[in-house]
Amino acid sequence: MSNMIKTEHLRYAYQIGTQEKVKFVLDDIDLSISPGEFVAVLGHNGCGKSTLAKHFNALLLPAGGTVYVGGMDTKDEAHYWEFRKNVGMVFQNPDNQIVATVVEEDVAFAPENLGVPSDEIRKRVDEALKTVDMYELRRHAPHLLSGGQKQRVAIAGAIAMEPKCIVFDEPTAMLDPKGRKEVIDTIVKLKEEKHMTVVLITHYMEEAVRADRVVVMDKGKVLRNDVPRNVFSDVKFMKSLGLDVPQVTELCYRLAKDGINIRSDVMTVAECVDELIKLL
Amino acid sequence: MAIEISNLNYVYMAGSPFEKHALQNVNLTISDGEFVGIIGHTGSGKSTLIQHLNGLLKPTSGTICVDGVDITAKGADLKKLRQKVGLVFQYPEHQLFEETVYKDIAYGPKNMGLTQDEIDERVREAMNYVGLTDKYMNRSPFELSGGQKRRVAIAGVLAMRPDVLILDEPAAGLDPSGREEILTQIKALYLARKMTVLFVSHSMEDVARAAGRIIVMNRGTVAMDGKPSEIFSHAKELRSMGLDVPQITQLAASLAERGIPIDNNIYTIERAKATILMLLAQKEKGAK
Amino acid sequence: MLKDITLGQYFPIDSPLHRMDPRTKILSLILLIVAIFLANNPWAYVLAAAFTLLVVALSKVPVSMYFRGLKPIWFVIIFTALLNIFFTPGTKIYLFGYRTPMTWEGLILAGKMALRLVLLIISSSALTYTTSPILLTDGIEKLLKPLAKLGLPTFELAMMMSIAIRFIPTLIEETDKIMKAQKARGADFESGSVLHRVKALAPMLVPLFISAFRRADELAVAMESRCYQGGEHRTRLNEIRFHLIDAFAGLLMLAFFAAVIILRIIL
Repeated sequence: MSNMIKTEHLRYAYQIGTQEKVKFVLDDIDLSISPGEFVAVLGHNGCGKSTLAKHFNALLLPAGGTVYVGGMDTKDEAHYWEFRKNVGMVFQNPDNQIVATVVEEDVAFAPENLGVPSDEIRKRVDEALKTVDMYELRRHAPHLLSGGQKQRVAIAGAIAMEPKCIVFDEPTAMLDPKGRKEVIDTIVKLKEEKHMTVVLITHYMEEAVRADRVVVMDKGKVLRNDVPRNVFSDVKFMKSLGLDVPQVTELCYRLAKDGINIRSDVMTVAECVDELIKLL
Repeated sequence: MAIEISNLNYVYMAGSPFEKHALQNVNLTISDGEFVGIIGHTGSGKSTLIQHLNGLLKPTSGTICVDGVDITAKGADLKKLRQKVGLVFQYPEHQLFEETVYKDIAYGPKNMGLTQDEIDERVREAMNYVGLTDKYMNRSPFELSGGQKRRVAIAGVLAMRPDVLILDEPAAGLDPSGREEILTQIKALYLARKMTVLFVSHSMEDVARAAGRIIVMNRGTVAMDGKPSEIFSHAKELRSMGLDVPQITQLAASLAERGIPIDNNIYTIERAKATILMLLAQKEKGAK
Repeated sequence: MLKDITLGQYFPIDSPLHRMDPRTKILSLILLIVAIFLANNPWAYVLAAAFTLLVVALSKVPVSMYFRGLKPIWFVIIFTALLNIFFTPGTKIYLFGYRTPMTWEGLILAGKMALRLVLLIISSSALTYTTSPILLTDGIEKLLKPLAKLGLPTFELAMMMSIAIRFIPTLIEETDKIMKAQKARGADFESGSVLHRVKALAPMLVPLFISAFRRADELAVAMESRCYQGGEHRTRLNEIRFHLIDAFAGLLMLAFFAAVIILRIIL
C-alpha cells in the first residue's frame, strides 16, 4: 500500500437554495498522503479544510472524483466501517466529543462500538491513556478537566480504535498556550513513536512548522503542497492569503528585503539565532 | 473612568470539597483612558476578576470603586454600573438571540429604557464602530459568518455606550485574518471613543499590540504589572506561568544569551528588525 | 445556586458499595424505598434509618455530600412537615399553658414524613454517588432487557440517558454564562410580573437551545467517527457481573425487608 489517503479530482459542493446554483467547497483536489507522514493543512476559515477532512473517514462522500483510503474507494459501502476504524478524528471543541462521564469509559467508546472483548478493551484503554499521559486521571469526570486534558482524552479515544491515521480538525483552536503545547506534543509523539499518519488542520504556524509537509488551501483549491520551509519562506504569498508565517521567518524575510545577506527560509528561533550570530 | 480595586478576595463554593480561592488580595488601580491587557492562563483568575468589575460576581471580601462609587456596597445600582462598564464575554456570538442584527444590538439600549430614536441612533453608531454596513441590519445574525457574528455581539455591548469596555478573549477561535481585523478594530475604537479598555487574553502577542500596560495574573494574584517592555523582559517567568512569549522575544533573549548586546524586551518584528539593522551598522562602523 | 445541584453526580472513590453490581444496587434501592413506605411503627423506622446509615457508611462518600444532596429539597420537607403539624386533626398541644393549633398526631405524622423523605433522598443519592452514570444506565438497560423483546428500544434509551447526564454540567455552566452575558447587557431575570419574567427568559433560552443543538450535531459526528452503530454487537469495558459482595448485599437487603414486614405484622 503506497498511499494512506489519496484523492483524485475530488469535488464537493453545497447547493444554494432550490436553484441550480452550487458552491464548490472543494474544487478538483488531488492529494496523496503516505503512511507515517505528518501533513498540516492551512487556510483561513471557510476555505474547505474541514470538508476535506470529513472525506478522509467517509463522513462525507465526494460529489465528483474519488477518495481512496488504504487503497479502497470510500464510496464502496462494504468497507464503510473500515474507513471509520482506520482513520480516527479529533475535533475542535473538546466538550462536544466526549460521550461518557468517566475518562476511561469515554476512551473505551470506540472499541465498545466495534465489539472488542472486554479484556482487550481494558488493554487498549490503558495503553491509549498512557500514550497521551492521562492514565493517572482515568477515573476522573471529564467536565472537571482542563481543555488540554479533555483534548488528550479525545485523542486517546481515537487511539483506542487502533487507527492507521488520525485527522485533527483544529484541535488547539479553543485551548490556552499550555493546553496547545500538551496537545501538539502528543500529536508529534504519535507520529514519531507510534508511526501514525497524522493530518493536522490548524491556524497556528508554530504547529504547522513541525509537519513533514504543508498543504495550503484557499477557496476549495490546493495552492501549495510542499515542505514547510518552502511554503513559509514565501512570506508574500502567505500574507496575501491572510495567513501568518512564524515571526522569525518574517523577520529574516524583511531583513533580506532590506539588502541584508541572510537566508530567508529560517523557521525556528534556533535557526534564526545561528543566522544572526554569523552576521553580528 | 477610574477603577480602584482594594484587597479583593473571591472564594468559589466556600465550605464545599470544591472550594477554591480564585482571587487573593488583588489591589489594582486602572486610570481613565488606559488600555490595559490582562493575561494569565486558564484558571489564573482573570475572568473572575473582570466579572467583579460590573457586579456579576460579589467579592468574598474587599472593595471595588468605579468612578468613585463603591459597587460592592449594599444597594449599589448594578443596572447603571453595567451601562458604564460594558463586558464582552468569550465567544460572545453564542449569546445572540434576536431575529435580526438590528434587534439584537438594540437589546442593551432597550433595557436601558431609551426612546426609539435614541436606540436607533445608538444601534447605527455601534454598527459603524464594528464595521458592519446598513445592509446587515435586517439580516438574521445566525446566517452570518463567525467573525461577523462576533462583531454583532460586540456592537450589542457598544450600543450601551459604556465608558469602560472589557473584552474577554475577543479573538479566540478566529483565523489569523479574523484576529487581525478584530484587534485593529478594538484599537481604532479605543482611539475614537477614548474609552478605558481592558483586554483579557492568554496571547501575549495580541495583548502586546495595543496595550499600554499589562497585568499578569497567576494563581489568583497579580504577578506582574507594568509597561509591555518591562513585562516582556521577564520571558522566563512568563513561561513558567504557562504563558506563551512571542517568538521574537524568545529570539532576543537567545541572542542576548549568546553575548549579542540586544535589549531583552523586544516584542514586535519592527523593533527587532530596527535593532538588528542598527547593530549591523555599528559593526560596519567598527570594522572601518 | 445552579452549581449546588449534586444529585446524580458520581463520586469517584473505591468502596464496597462502588464495587457492587449496579443491578443489585438498583433493585436494592427499590426494595429499600418500598420498605420505607411500608414501615408503620417506631421500630421499623429505627431499623430503616439504621440500614440507611449503614449504606452511607459503606459508601465512604463524605456525609457532607449527602447533606448537599438534601439542600434543594429542604423546603419541600419543611413545608410538608408544617402542613402535617397544623392540619392533622387530633389532640391539641398545650405549650406554656396555651392552646396551639398543633396536634400530637400532626407532630408525629410530620416526623414520619420528614424521616421518610430524608431517607429516600439519602438512599437514592447513595446509588448515584457510588455508581457511574454509565454503569447506572448499563444496569437499567440490563434490567429492562426482557422488555426489548416487546419492542422497547432499551439500548437507545440507555444511551440517551447517559448522554443527557454527561451534558448536565456542561449545560449548567453554559446557562450560567449566558445569563451573565445578558445581565451585562441590562437583562433583568429577577424582578417584574410573571409575564415580564417569562418574556425575559427568551434572551437566555434561545442561545441555550441553539448551543444545545450545535453540541448535539457535533457530538453525533464525533460518535459516528468513533464507529457508533447502535446497540447490536456492542461490548463493554466493564461488563457488569454479580460478585460475592452482591450475593451478600442481596441477602442483607432481603433480611432487612423481611424484618420490616415482620415488624408490620407483629406490632
